[in-house]
Amino acid sequence: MRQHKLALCKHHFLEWIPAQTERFIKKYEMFTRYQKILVAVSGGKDSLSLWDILIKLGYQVDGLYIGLGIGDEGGYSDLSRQMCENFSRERGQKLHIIDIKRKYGETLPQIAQRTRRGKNKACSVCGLTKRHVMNQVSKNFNYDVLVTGHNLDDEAAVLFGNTLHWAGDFMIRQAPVLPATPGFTRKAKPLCRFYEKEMAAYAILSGIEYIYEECPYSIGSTSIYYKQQLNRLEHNNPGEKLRFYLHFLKAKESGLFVLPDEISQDLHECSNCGQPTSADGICSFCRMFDQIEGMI
Amino acid sequence: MVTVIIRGHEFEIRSGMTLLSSLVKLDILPETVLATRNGEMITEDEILRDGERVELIEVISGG
Repeated sequence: MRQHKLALCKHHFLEWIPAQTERFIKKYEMFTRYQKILVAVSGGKDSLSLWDILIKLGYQVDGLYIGLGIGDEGGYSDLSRQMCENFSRERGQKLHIIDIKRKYGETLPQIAQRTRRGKNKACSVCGLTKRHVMNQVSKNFNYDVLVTGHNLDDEAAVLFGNTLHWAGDFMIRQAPVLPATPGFTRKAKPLCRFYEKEMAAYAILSGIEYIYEECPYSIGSTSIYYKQQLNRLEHNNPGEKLRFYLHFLKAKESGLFVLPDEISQDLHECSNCGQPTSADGICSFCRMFDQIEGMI
Repeated sequence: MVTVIIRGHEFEIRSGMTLLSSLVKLDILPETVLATRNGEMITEDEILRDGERVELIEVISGG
């Protein structure tokens, strides 16, 4: 790990990752062992590793898998679900499964194809759907915190994109922890300071079976392009990705952006699902289905 | 020669170089892959010997 000027054997690396995770959980005051945690799992290396680490650290953590219906039978979504089910069964952990087709009548690619939001942008529909379902499940089952497996490369790529476009409103909201607000569960990203390569190494060395296949919609995505560019910088200057992210957090803390309590958002309940929304009437998620019904 | 495999594609490369040099030679960013030899993960400073087969695992995912 050139960025840390640290070389560890397998045994010590597998101790170091959970110890560092615990340090980040405490540093950013993410959650405690008295709280009920829901981890969103996709079957990938990051989310399953995070679940594994939180179990090892003794947190009360259940999983949530959202079946998007991507790929044919036995394809991407089926495989990723299998990985999550195997993981939870082998470790005797509770896994909530929400199947989008069963719940809403159509798979994610079908929804994307029919809606304006999804035209050539299935990822936009996917993000909206996952955020909606994650919040709904965490509220319905009274979880205190919703955690995701975003790693440093994910965070740095988002920050890179937002910086290129000076998307200040998004930058304000990017943080290791998003506090609970009326209608929204607290969110945390305990892996936000680990390199993607470190998380892959953790998964492999821990014997965690994860889906190696890429989501077909992510091929050629902007996030992967940004990650590649950042890795070029990292290659020539070890630690660059970590500094980019940490200096951003420091700058935010010291007032580069508006303070979070100065942000005012006029939120009200969606008249259909009851989740908070800044839109008039129904939220963006419900509007997506409204559009579908209008087209049938 | 050393055989380097990535997502089913095989590349031949001169033996005697470190994994890091081999990756650079193949124009692969070391930050984006992990390497295994005989199922064991290897570090970037390992010398690759004649006849070895090294499998690369891509670590970057989208979403």
